[in-house]
Amino acid sequence: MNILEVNNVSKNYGSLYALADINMTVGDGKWLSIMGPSGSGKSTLMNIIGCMDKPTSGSVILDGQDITQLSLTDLTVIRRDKIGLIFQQFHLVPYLTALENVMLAQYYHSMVDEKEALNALERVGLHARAKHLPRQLSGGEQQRVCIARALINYPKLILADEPTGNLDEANESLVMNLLHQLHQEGSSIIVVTHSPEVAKHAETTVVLEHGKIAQIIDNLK
Amino acid sequence: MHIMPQIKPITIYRLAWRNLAQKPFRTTCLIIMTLLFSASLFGGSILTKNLNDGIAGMANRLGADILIVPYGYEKELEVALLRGEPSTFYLKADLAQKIEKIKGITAVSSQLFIASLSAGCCTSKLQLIGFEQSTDFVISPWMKQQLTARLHDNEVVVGSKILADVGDEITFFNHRFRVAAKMDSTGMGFDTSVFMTMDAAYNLMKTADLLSGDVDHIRNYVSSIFIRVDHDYQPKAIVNQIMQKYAVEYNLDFVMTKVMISDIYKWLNSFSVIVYTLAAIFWLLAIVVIFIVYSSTINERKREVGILRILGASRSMLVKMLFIESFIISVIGAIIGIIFATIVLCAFSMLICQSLGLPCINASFSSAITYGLIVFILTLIIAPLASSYSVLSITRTDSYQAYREGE
Ligand SMILES: Nc1ncnc2c1ncn2[C@@H]1O[C@H](COP(=O)(O)OP(=O)(O)OP(=O)(O)O)[C@@H](O)[C@H]1O
Ligand SMILES: [Mg+2]
Repeated sequence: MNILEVNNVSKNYGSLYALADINMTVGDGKWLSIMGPSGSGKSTLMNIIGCMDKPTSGSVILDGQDITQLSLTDLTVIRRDKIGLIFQQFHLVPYLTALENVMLAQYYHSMVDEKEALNALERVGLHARAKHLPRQLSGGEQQRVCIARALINYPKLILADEPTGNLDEANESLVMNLLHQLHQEGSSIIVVTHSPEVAKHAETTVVLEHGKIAQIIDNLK
Repeated sequence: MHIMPQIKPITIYRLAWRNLAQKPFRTTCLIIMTLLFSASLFGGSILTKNLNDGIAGMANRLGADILIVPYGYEKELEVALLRGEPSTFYLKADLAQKIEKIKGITAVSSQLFIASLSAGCCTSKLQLIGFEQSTDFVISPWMKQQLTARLHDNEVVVGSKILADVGDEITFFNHRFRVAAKMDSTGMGFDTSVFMTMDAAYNLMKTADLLSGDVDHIRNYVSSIFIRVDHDYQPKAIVNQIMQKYAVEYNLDFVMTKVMISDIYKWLNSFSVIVYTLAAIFWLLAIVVIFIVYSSTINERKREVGILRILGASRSMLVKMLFIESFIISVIGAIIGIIFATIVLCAFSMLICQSLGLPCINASFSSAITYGLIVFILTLIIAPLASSYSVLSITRTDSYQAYREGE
């Protein structure tokens, strides 16, 4: 069973092809890295998989469902039910505390459970910072809150767009450890990164160039 | 067990509230904008209503159509009547008998005004008024309960604001009086006046040495003659007749109450025009300012709303959240504005009326509630209306764009 199937996906902005005829699959519980130079279409692909954008052509099958046929409203539902998102820019709601930011994901997903939200923060080592606002947290801490928020609803697929881009080595390994834990618990993971070190954590690395898959590397070999 | 303090669950209201609370300066400014409107409209319209009621009450019960005063004392009488500012002036008394016979005049009654010294009961000077019980049609409409017997020379009737009750004793110029009755609130100078028999008033004048000569000589004077005119006759025509016959001999001036009251109404009209114009300006100003403030933060808000969208909020949830946010601004502005205006009115309404020199009756609770509701609703509209453009454009773009644009 595949969590994700990307079939002949293209995305163009006018005459610019951000993605050109991409084909790839991610098996259930697998970890995939996407690498490539700036502007090669990595974020565009992630946004399509993350139900935040639609391809110009082609289809994306997420957990057995063709998401390219869905309305924006349905995409919102799929995203909140199946996907956990981690961005390079720490997209936290500025006026909510760390804990509330995590609970927010629960709120839109199902039910707010404070204890569970606190547990998620504990997992990322931020139990003591639960009551802090994002601006009172360091970049690494904010990123960890994002991870706590992404994992709170037990998503089948975790999408991380340069999750360690802004972090120092210590924080980077903290974040990677967390991803490993999630991976071990069964989540499928797709990580966009510029760092070969980070990419190596995955089973497979896909390299994009000019919106096309230039190379597929098996990291286990 | 966690020892975390209780955290309130996340709701759409709470999200809206947290956003407002996080930007206290902005929020306060927006609230002040709405508050200016609610306070000015509520305060202004209640004050207008108080004045209107006061004048209407006065117009209804002031039975006199023409007041005769000594030449040059027209203003003094108006002031004494409306504001109760004590004054003393004299007119030869026999005029009353002479004009009684003029056709069209149905009632004539004289009054004698004496400005008291500060009395024991009261902090300020009072207007003491001697009135003719047999002919009076000016005071009696205001009496709370009719006098059962004639007022004795050692008895007085007090205005509603005089701090004395029936049975109490008050002293003026060393004369002691028993309070025999208390009047209804008139909103006029009568509220701070004390009424007594003509004889009592003449005796006081003698004691106070206000006019030289003995009491019999003083009896030749009154301060003002109140005249009621038959409906079929024009007060103006009556005034002309009196003028022709007696103006030179008696040196007279006239106050036509209808003219006086319609002048006041005219003034009140322009006052209410100012009040409502001001309120309308504040209303528009609040809308414009809130519109601008919201519009200037559209991009910032798109980013923040984009996060919520990515986390799974539907567009309708976001629209609702943003409208609740502006609604909260309006509600707080409305409540604070109305409370503020109420406090100011309670503290200063009478003072304002007095300094305007106009009668004033405090609005009833029910009309205050009605005005409050109207103001509340008008204020409620402000922020949601002013923010609607921004709310719609913040939530219009899909989440992906919002997220990109926020980058
Ligand atoms: N909304 C858009 N309108 C027009 N062009 C776009 C839009 N979004 C992306 N592009 C273009 O599509 C191409 C791919 O962009 P994308 O963000 O996917 O690159 P990326 O691989 O994530 O780069 P980076 O490593 O710098 O993040 C770029 O050339 C970009 O300019
Ligand atoms: Mg990118």
